Amino acid sequence: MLLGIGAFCFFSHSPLALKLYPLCINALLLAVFAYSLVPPKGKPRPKLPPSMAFRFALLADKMKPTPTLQGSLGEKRVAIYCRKVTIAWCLFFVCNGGFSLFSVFWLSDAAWALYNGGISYILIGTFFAIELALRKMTDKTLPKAIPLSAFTPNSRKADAVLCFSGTFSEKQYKTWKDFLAQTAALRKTIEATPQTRWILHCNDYWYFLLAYTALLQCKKEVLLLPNISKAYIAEIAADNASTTSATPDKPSASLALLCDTEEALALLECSFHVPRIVEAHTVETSTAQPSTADAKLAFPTIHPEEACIVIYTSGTTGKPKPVKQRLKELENDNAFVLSQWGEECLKRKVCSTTSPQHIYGLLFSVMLPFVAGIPFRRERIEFPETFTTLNDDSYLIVTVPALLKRAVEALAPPTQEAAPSQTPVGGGEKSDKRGVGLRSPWVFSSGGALPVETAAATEQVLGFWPVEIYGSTETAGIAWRQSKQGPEWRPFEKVHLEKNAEGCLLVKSPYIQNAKGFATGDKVQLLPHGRFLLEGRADMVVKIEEKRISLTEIENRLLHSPLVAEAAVVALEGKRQFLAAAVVLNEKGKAHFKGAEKFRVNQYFREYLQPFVENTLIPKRWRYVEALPKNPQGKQQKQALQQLFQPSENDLPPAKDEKLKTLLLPQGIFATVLRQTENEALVALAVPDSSLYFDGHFSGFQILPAVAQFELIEACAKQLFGPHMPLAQPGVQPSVHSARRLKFSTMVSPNMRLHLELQLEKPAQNAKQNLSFVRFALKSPDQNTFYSTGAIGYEACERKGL
Amino acid sequence: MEELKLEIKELIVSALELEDIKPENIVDADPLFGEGLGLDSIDALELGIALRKKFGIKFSTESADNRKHFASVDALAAYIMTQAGAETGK
Repeated sequence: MLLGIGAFCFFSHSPLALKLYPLCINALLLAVFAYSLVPPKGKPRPKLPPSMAFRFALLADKMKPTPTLQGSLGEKRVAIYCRKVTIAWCLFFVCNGGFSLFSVFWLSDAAWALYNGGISYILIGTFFAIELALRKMTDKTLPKAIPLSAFTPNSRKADAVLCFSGTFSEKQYKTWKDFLAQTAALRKTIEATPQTRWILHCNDYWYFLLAYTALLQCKKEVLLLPNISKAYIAEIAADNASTTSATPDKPSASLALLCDTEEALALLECSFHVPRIVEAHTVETSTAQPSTADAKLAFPTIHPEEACIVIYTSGTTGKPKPVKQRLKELENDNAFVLSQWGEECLKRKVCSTTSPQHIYGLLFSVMLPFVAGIPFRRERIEFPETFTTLNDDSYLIVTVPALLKRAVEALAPPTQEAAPSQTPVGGGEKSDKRGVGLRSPWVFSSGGALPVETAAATEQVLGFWPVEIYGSTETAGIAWRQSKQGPEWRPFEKVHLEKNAEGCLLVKSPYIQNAKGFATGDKVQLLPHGRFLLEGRADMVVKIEEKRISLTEIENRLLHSPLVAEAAVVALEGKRQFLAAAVVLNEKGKAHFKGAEKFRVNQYFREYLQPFVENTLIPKRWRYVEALPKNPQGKQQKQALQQLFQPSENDLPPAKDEKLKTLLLPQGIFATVLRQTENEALVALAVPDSSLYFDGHFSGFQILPAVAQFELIEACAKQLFGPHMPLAQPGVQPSVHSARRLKFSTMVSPNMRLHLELQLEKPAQNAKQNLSFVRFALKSPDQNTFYSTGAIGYEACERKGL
Repeated sequence: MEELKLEIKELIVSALELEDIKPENIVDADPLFGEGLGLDSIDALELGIALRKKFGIKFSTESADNRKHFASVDALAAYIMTQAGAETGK
């Protein structure tokens, strides 16, 4: 096109056309540059369109041997900068073109030639030079992602803040300088120890980062354990001894330990206290000037494909399962998170409720802030109250559903707690008051699916609807979602998903070393655009409050006891998720526990399991039976097992002497009447996940629809109060006439334990005699959550057929 | 004090939905978490919620302090007493 215009101007032999040529070029460039700024149409919320300058920048970047721009932490800022440059060029073309136009018609030929042939080019050159200088300056302020495998002593400024204690404004910082000096001190100790495999267990994220870095720098293998009891470590050591050439008589000699608690020091002969090494070093260096030159000389780099991290988790075999990860894949995972949410992360400080000994905690609470240079809180948040202190700055909270569920309950504004049972109307304007008043926080949740109601409550109490990450120890991150936008998961970049023959999710991704991918035990439903829904586990692995455990592991461990003949474990859920065990004692066991109180027997087995599994994973309920419910199909046995743990009658609220009455409701659902008088009743029920009520209404979401709730409540009311209604007469039965003030405020999930409170209204004086109202409130057994409230009106309806 | 301790124990049993164990089986000075009753971090959170509701108390923003308060029935009772004292003292 340029050539075309040039050719026309040249060959037309018209001096005017020739003189207009520079103007045409300016106009053309203006059009191209300006067009690149126009947002593309059709999309609801278009991203920043790639401006002309940004397209050039990407092109130039791609010609480099290792492109660094695309997907980088600073990409968005570069794009914004390039947009400004593009706008500046547009203005330049307008001015330059304008003056060129002026010179064609109002200036002499000589002046035209001087401007268009000389000055104009000098201006372009100057403009370029200024932009280049600006670009260099901007480049220095761009956030740089520096993974563990790429940092050097000069990667960040000496006083750059890496970590803080308490809140950020308290200014108790650890800096880049501390990081370099303290990792060097740790390296000295580590290098002086021959062991190649090191268990790392630190509660403090700062100590964890130091020890983690130092171990990898010294080319040691890092072992992360969910549980550091003596017995558990002995198992790992024994496993280790069988695969390596360590001395078989003393397997634990092949392992070393770095920790930050006094108690853990006793676990292995070769163990070191990170804080002590670090503090000793600080004293040392405060007297002698630190020789940074020395540190730089001896600075070892970490090779991302050789550095090895072994994370132990519960496998299907019932033994601790080592999952070996290379640093490379973990860093790829970090890079994706930063390319997706980097800008949001950079605006905040990281604080976490998740142990760094777990892959999610490791990736998000330690590695991610380190890579992006975001200050992180060194103490773990354990109690909801701590959130109330985090209002001095903007924070990114790394947490799990188990803590979020309780935190939103503990921190919910008191107006909700005081919701009276008689009139749960109103209060709407008060309930959206923020509970904690955090400053534009961000919340990541992982480890298990976050119930929608908890996510919604988090938005209300903490001020952010959490972004959930789906992943596992073997695969690192797989997908993410923000359930506000729907229940389906969106895959991480470059993640390839398939459904295998077992109906489970097969993952291939840059975050997994094995090119064949990894088959998860999660049943999946694939949706268009690579999205998917998760539909439970296919194997015996369950999650108890986000802690993964193979039921077989617990069963096998119980079977190892000399007192047990058979054992079966199931996962149950009440107020919390927990395991329950049914045990068949052998003759020795029966003799041993003869006459013992049941809680003592429970205690025996609890203590028996304690060395091997975390407290959360020790069964909370126990049944000692003559035989386990057996059936050819595993599933039936599971149901029969669960039946064993149905709450016994004395579990229910007191104050009733007659036998509990059971109501049969639509869809074969049973309800237990806990309390009933002539005009008031309390009923307990739960709708099982197998119920047809959960089919179809909300695809993917298991929620009890309002119609179903109404149908169940109405059936209860009719059965309980039918005979007491003033309209009751032989041959007449009540039928629904109308409903008042129906309010479905919180979603009901499958198997949730529900309490239904019913009250038969006294007929008002002026009311019609043949109309009766029953008020209801469907709520959680602890009275804290109201699912639905309202009143149902009944009228007399003649019995047909009979 | 004894009454308060019994109330706490009843709350532990009911709020944590403990089975087979009666309030009187819980020893005042025994650790609640880890060994002893074998409760876990989730139980601590649940118990915290129940205690806040029943006694209207607040816990510390420092995890280390809270770990001390939750150590045993004795510790909890002492903490609730000081909290109640602080309330009436105002």
